[in-house]
Amino acid sequence: MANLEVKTHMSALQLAIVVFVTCAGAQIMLSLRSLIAEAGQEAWISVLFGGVIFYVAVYLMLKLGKNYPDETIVEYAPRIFGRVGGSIVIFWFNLLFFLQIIAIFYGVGKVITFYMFDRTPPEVVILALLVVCTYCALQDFGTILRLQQIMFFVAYSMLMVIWMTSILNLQPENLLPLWPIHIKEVVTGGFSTWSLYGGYECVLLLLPLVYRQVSFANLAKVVGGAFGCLTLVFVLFIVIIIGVLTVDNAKSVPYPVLLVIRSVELPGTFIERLENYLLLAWIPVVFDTLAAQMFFMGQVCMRQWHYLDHRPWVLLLVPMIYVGSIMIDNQQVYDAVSNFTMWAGLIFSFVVVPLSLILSWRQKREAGTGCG
Amino acid sequence: MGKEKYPKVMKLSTHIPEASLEQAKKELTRLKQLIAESAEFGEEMGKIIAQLRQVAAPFHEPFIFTPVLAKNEQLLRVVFRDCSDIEFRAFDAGSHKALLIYLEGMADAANLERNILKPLMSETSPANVNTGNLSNALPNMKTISERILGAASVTVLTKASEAIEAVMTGKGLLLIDGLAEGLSIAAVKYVKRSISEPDTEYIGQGPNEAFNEDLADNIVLIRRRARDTNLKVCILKVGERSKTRIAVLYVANLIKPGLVEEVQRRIGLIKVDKVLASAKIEEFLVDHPWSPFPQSQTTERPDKMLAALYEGRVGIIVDGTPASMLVPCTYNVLMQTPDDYTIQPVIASLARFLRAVAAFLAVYLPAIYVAIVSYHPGMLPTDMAISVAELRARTPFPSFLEALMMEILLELFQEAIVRLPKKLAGAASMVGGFVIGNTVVQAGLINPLLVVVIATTAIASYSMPSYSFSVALRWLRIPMLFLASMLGLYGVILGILAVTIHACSLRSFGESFLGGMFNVDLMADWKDALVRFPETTLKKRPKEFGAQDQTRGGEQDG
Amino acid sequence: MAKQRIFGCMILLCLSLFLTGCWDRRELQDRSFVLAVGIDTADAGNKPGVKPEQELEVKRTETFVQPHDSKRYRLSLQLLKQETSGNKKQETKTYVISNTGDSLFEMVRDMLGQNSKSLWFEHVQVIIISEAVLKQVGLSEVLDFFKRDSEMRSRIKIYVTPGDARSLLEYSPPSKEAGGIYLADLVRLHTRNNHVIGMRTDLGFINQYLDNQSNILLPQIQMVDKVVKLGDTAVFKRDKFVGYADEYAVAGLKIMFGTEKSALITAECPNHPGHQVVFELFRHDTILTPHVEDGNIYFTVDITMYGNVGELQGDLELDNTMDPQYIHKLEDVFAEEIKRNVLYAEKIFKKEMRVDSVSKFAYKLKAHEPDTWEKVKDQWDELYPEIPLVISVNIFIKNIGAHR
Repeated sequence: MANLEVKTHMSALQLAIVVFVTCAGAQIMLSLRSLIAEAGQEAWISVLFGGVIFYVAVYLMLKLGKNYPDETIVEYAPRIFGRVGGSIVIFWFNLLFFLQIIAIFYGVGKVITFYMFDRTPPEVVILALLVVCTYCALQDFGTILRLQQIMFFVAYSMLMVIWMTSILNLQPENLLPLWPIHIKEVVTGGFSTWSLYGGYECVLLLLPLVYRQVSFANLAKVVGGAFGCLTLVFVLFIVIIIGVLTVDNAKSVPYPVLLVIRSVELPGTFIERLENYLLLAWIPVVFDTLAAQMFFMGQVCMRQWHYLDHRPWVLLLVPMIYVGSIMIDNQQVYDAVSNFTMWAGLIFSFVVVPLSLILSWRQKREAGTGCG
Repeated sequence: MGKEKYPKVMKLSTHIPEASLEQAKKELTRLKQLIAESAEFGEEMGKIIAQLRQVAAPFHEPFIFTPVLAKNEQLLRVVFRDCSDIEFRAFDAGSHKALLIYLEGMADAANLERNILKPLMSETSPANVNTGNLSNALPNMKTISERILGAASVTVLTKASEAIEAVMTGKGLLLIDGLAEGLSIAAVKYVKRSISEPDTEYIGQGPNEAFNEDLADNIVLIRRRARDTNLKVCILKVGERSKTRIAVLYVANLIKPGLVEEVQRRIGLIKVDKVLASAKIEEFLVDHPWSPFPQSQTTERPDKMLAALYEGRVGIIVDGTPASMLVPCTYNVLMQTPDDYTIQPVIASLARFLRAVAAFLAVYLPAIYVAIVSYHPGMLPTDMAISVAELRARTPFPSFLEALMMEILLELFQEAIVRLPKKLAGAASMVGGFVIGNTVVQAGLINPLLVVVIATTAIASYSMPSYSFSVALRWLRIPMLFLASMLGLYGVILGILAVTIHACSLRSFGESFLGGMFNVDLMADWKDALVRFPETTLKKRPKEFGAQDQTRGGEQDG
Repeated sequence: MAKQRIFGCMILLCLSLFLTGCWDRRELQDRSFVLAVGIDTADAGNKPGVKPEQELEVKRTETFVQPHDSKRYRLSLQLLKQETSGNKKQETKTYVISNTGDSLFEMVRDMLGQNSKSLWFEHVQVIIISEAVLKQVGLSEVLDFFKRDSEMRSRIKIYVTPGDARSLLEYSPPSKEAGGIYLADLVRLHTRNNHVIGMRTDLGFINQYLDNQSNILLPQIQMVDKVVKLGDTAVFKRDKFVGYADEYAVAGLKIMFGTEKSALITAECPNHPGHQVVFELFRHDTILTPHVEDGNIYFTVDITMYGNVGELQGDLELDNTMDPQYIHKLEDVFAEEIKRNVLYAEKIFKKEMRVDSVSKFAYKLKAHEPDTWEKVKDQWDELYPEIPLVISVNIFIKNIGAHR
């Protein structure tokens, strides 16, 4: 049968959109409080710093991927690190997604049951979202790509529009003094923004789908554009939070984003309770991060064990994810899990990837000089 | 010697009533009767089969023609047994006997008389001075048709099944003694509906011709609008018993390679016995028969079909129904009307945007109402919340039940309106308006806000350009209502996501149903999707259909 | 076959949602709108002329047995009467129920015994706290329940009243609106009424000040002879109630901070003493900056105002508003008046109450001179009353109205 579907490739711009959508997810609601508590007034500089260093990490990943066109990390990791090392690296890679997913589910359950409902147990909320994410992760990548583009243009713009109404309460003097005084906090805060930016590792899986004709420079530029947008979005969030609430108030509220939106009053319109609108616009944002990451997990498992179809793996993961997100009981466990994830992600991005670059460069050099 | 004691003979029928002798005799006579009757049937069937099987025939054919006319006629009479509307006209063509067979009512008798009977009878009669000597020179049908007959379209037939089908489609069949061929003459005239206005796709400022039930007329409507030899028409027959004709139209040098072959292959795989409506074909052609969304666009306007053909799509016209199909079909295509191209671009863009909003409202508005009133009333401003609470204080039902009742009432109403005869429709709409609008509110059953919500929803669903799409939207409301009544606005958002995922996963001949809307690869298509830019900027065809020649100019070669 | 199994599993998962209930579905008309909240001390409401035994009866029906056996507060809630058709001639749209106890949350739940529908706080418009309560405890203790609950809006207005909060809740405005909405709308006009502090007195902002350890200002509402009036300001040091500042001081404070949108400055006619001339402010630029020189901190406030002459009760012969010299004279007179106002405010707040209102000066110092702030922030409370304020005022009269 003639294959009429000509969309098994992506362009660089679509890859950038996928990276943006997967990275900008639930953490803008959930993890900003700890960032402000750590970095204080200079949190926005931490975010900028984080944007820069994680773009460097993505750049290294792009370079690594370009060395092995048509292959994802699952295929070339065993070649670089050997069988055992490769399996460890792949398991680590998968674990990163898994930990992010369960942390996000737990956070979503908590936020929605507290702010939108009263007595609904969080398990129901998590289960409902899990069902929809599973339905999406069971589709093929073409569907997910289109869905993410739709979400990018519709959901993110709605989220930003609602968020921008909070400028009405912005007091610019809350942001002064602008210049960093505590450099150490800024740097540690910058590293802890990994939870905000996490998700860019998916690039390692997606590179084979990008057209071979796209040059490396173009790809790096476009992905850099995506990171620029991400950084801009996060900086906007931080700046407005600190501008509307002050640092002290933001530190004592579990979800400062919602408090900022609550204080907005649009007189003369019928729109009230803007935090409900923000939450409603936020749910699709969360959903596409979760669905994409579940799909990637399924893909990794599928390639690791040489299946042709990722769908049984996704279904296998569903009870694991549900149990994992229920097992997080309270805020301390959640903080511990986020901390662990952050360190695992940082080590992966800054130790494993450069190491694999060096090793693969060495291997190629040996292979090159080997013959003749 | 004493009296021996014989064992008492007892009648079997006292213990087993069915074993009595009379009964057995009766059954025996009945059985004999049955055997006699079936023997008769067998004889008759044998005779018929013998009649048909007198000549050797290939597997699919009932028989083959022989040069003997009497035999052909007998075989044909057997096939057309009990079809009293088939006319057998015997006449003399010169010195040979000839037979004209046609279906009364579907063949143009005057045409046949003028062009077949008259020339054959008069010009080959020995009395005719000019051509009388031709009477003996009738070698084959081809020469006859070339020299003597005056009909415009003739075909020589050798197979019996073709001959039978020709008669059943209304053509005349000519058999001449001594020739083992038949000639079919296309002189077809039957009653059909004249070209009228479209029912559902009326536009204000453009052509208003619609397809009718005749395949030839429909193809003519298309051809009349484009004098392009690259517009190809390929006619297939589907349906084992009904042998309905289907025309597949496409523009050869624009279409994506492989698309037409795929369409033809799928049509060839259809094995049904009759085809009465194009929807039957549609369900075999599409990839996802279980989805509520339509995956091929149905239209009864020839200008819409022609525009689609020139975008690189395939049109399928089915004989016997004015609803024709266009594949592949995406969401953008379903939401466009020819009206958009006849009014100013800015207004057209606003109208398209409004249609998108209407599609959203048609599905989600009752669900949003239920969710806000039951779960999140804090989202209403205080004054409005107070007035809504006062309105709802008078009605007894919870909001979900109210909304469901109104939904059912509305659907009942819509079904009823479709079935009513025209004279009653006016009265029925008045009853409906009063009942739903006034009396239900006054009786204290439903609050007026819900009536507004339901009315807006109904009107929004009527404004969809494609009828099958609007039906899909109508019925998607019910699961959304259930979701909203369980999980409030969170459920509504999850429902929106689920419907979007489903729509994105649909494929129609390789094109994604929803994906073209925001695909950055196809950004060139955005000029005609959610908005419409002026014609001077729409120089390229939609990229998503993969046409070979992307610019909307003509061919540069001669 | 596998596809059917996958399908079946998903359907089971979805059906399990149906098996549960809808926990949060409560119809709108089954909720009782709470429009206003009033907090008094538990023995408030002693009405004169009522026999003590009768009072005890009343008190007993309003309370329940508490485990800690102390009753500190009386919580009153103003609920909306939901009118059904045909009954439009009621006098009031609301009614008040109250309870006494110690924990506000407990009192709310106990009040469910007094009402047929569940109480719903999402539309609370205003919280009124009586002065007696604030003399006993700090503001953050009283407001903690409202801070923590997710149903409360962030823009609930907060008032302090010297009298009894419950009587304010029972007040039915002559315009026949619901009482809570009327009370909340009173402070919304604070931008035009210079004697009312209202810029950041909502619940959300109060929480912000409490977190920042700032000194809070709240408007005062009182009912005198069946007339409800917003007037003075209640001044808090951190969250302890210190006293009231009168309206003239509030006006001066607002001018000093630049938070007024439209104000009236009244002065005596220069040529015609004893008669008033009024300046209506339309636009102003107020800049309050800290300066640090050689370890000395001082603040400057530069006020530039643009406006019209609103009312001139003078003699048309002597007061010629067409004369530019006279206009300059008026401008000087108004500038003097403003300066006097600001100095009066400074005297009240800085010298008498020794309170840095809404910690504005601290805030400015921290924003512009962070190094100095680091040094002095621990002694700010003692240092503040000594810091001088230099005022400069410029007035421009743009228009004199429709008549000379």
